[in-house]
Amino acid sequence: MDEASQLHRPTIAVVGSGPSGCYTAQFLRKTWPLSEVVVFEALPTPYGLIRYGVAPDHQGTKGVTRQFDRLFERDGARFAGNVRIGTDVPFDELAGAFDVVVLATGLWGDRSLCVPQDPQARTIGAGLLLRGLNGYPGLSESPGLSEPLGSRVAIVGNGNVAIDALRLLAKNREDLHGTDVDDRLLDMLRPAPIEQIDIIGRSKASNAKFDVTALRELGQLPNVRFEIGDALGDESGQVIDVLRDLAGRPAGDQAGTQVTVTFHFGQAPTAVRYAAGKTVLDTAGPTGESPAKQFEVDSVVTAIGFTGGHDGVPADWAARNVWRVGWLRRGPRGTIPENRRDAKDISDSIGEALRSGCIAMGKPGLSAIWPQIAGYVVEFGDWRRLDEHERQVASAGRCRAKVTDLAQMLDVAFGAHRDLQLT
Amino acid sequence: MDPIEILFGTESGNAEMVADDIAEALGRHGIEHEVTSMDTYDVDQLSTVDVAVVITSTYGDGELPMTTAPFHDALVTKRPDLSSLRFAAFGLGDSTYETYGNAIGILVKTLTELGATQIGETGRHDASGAETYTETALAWISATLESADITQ
Repeated sequence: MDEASQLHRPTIAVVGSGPSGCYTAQFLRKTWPLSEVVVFEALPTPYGLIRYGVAPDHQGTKGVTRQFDRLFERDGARFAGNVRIGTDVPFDELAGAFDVVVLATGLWGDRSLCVPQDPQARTIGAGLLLRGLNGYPGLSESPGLSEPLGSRVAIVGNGNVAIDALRLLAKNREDLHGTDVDDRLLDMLRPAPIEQIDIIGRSKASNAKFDVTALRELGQLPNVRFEIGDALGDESGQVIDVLRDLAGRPAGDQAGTQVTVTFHFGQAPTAVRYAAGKTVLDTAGPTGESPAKQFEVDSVVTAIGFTGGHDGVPADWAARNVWRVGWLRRGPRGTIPENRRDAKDISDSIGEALRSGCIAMGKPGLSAIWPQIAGYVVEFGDWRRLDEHERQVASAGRCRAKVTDLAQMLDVAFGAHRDLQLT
Repeated sequence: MDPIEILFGTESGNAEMVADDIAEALGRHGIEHEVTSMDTYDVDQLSTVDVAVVITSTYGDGELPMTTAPFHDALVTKRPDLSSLRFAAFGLGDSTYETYGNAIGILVKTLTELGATQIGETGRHDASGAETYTETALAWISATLESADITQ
């Protein structure tokens, strides 16, 4: 480490506590041990996509939060939750208070199918579905999440989010052991087991974006029967090999309800219609390879990628001392490790700018805006109170029951300390 | 004894955290050590190291993480003589996947082929298990130090 980083105390605000924001905070704290690093978050809870986007049955992936717990509890970064930059604190004020501002608010929204859609047809974005099943606050009013999905579901998309949606919809309650899935929502969406799930993608199987690892994991679902539907031809490749293994495996425990999952390739959606109480997905096959099809289902789940979400920041949130990182900078794609590498690169550029004097140091940091947020900011200790509560009230077979009501989240987080804060 | 070289290869930072945990544990025993990311480490130096701790996660379909791969490639191409090296090995993985802990196995095999001697058992953390990284790593390093008689 160079001398500058050991002597100076830059003040750094990170906006957004998802993986990109936390990794950036982590790298900067490691390089600049005297720095003040404050991670702002609009929700009372930290970790963004890890808490609300990673599938609830992938607790291993969610385990990266251990690193970030350490960042806030031991390694000196501050968490400032329940503070929405742009509303609670104007952006200019933040950029004026801190030497460096890092925007890491790459929250996603679902990309929608660009085909004619009957407003009566039932479609729901996979991102919204995952967020809901992850207990994201305030989604109970969301139209996509307020009625059952029915017994037959089509999932459009050939990537890992489609597989996440498939797994969560197909797994029975017992196979969700150890997760923090929102059971109330799942039971509402799926009052009876779903009988048929069609996974529909426009590309050939050899071009599908599924991770082979994610496909193999499906082999652990005892109650699912796999089939390969359209457009295989003489294709070869890992995806097809794994799917053939899945389709060829002996039938699982027949005692449980069977879900049939059928993979279709080379089927491009052309319309979503509504007819006779059903949602109908029309597709066109690649010329000559497969005929146009109609999937008559109860619901269509779209998993065809993400767009910049509603928290995408205004274009004029820019200045010499402002950086963007992760999905906000690169677009909403890429895994957690890819965004960690991005966080590393951005932290290095910030370090460079600080060392070279491109960015002046000496702004006051958190103390400048503390008076206006002190009454409602959720600090890391407050979050820990909510965290502990969520673990304690988890029902049997679940690791956590997330509180999904914002007011209740704050009540639990502040606990007995709220009165003290207000006086 | 020369400082123990702690080398980590990571994708999401968990193996780096384990490296930091192990460094602290060595520090508490008064054992000198250095922590280095595998992708910035020159494998030729390994011939002169007495004891190393290698830590890596497994990525994707049982592959080496991007920071572990160049280190492993360099070992395979440069083939340094590691007959004076003793090493301990710790792997991170997720037993949800078939390829659980694949990468550390690959690394142990290569180091052994180059003449190095493994100390103790390969440690493993299962991300789908109940223990934290820190708990598993600390229990493993203390057992390993004891078995190799390098506690001071």
